[in-house]
Amino acid sequence: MKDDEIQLIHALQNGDRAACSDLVERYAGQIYGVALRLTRHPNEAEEVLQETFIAACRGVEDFQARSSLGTWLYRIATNNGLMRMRRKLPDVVSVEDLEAGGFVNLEPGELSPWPIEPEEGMLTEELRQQMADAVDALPDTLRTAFVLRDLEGLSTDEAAEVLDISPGAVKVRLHRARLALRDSLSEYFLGARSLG
Amino acid sequence: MTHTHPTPECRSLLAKLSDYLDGDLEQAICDQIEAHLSECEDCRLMVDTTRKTLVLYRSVGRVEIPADTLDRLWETLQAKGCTSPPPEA
Repeated sequence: MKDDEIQLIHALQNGDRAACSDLVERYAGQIYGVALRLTRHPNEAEEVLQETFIAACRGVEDFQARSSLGTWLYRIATNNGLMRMRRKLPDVVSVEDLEAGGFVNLEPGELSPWPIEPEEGMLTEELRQQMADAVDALPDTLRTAFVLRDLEGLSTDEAAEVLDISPGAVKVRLHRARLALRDSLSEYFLGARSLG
Repeated sequence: MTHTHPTPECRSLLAKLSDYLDGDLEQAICDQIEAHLSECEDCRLMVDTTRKTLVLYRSVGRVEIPADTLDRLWETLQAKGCTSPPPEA
């Protein structure tokens, strides 16, 4: 952990309100990003954002420096976001089912070349929407791993800390998420080509 | 077209695909995978399209927090006594 982060934690633990402001300035953007990607709705994401920082600023005495401040905030936000999603859609699928491969086909789907080179910066609005819909369609456990690891850029170890699972379990979920997203985009690209 | 003739090597590659694309495998295993890829067009397509999937998603970039959302966060935290007044814009 960096020196300035240790100083910030000490200040927060001493009830320093300026330190809480510092925390917001450093992390509000990242926490809003993960909240929006998990809840899929700006109003819900804003509530997660607010509740995360209220909980963090009030509960910082409980913070244990095993993880970074950022990872700790991600954990509060992720748990809050998932809890909201599960309230809306009762989770009838157990994590164990998902780990066993339920709802995600592990056999590759369509295998044909894609008529694109993504390095050329061709993200049309339609493609962005398709990509977002594909992420939304993932089971919570896979979506969360993908959002944290591939969209938010956390390391495998950091994502494991946020989700309170092993790094190996993060890799399994990430692998399944990526295969499902590949299949979804493949259907989109090959469908678009057949229409063209 | 789906994978027409998945061999044990194909299934082994599929299981390691994420780690391969993340650069998390030892060189000896990468060499084995690349030897297989040189002979299996379906697996080359699988690797290529999965790599493109990641490139596309990573190109989306970070979500920007709307200014009014940030304003309301400051207001809420100040009302709860968590923060000092927000910094001057």
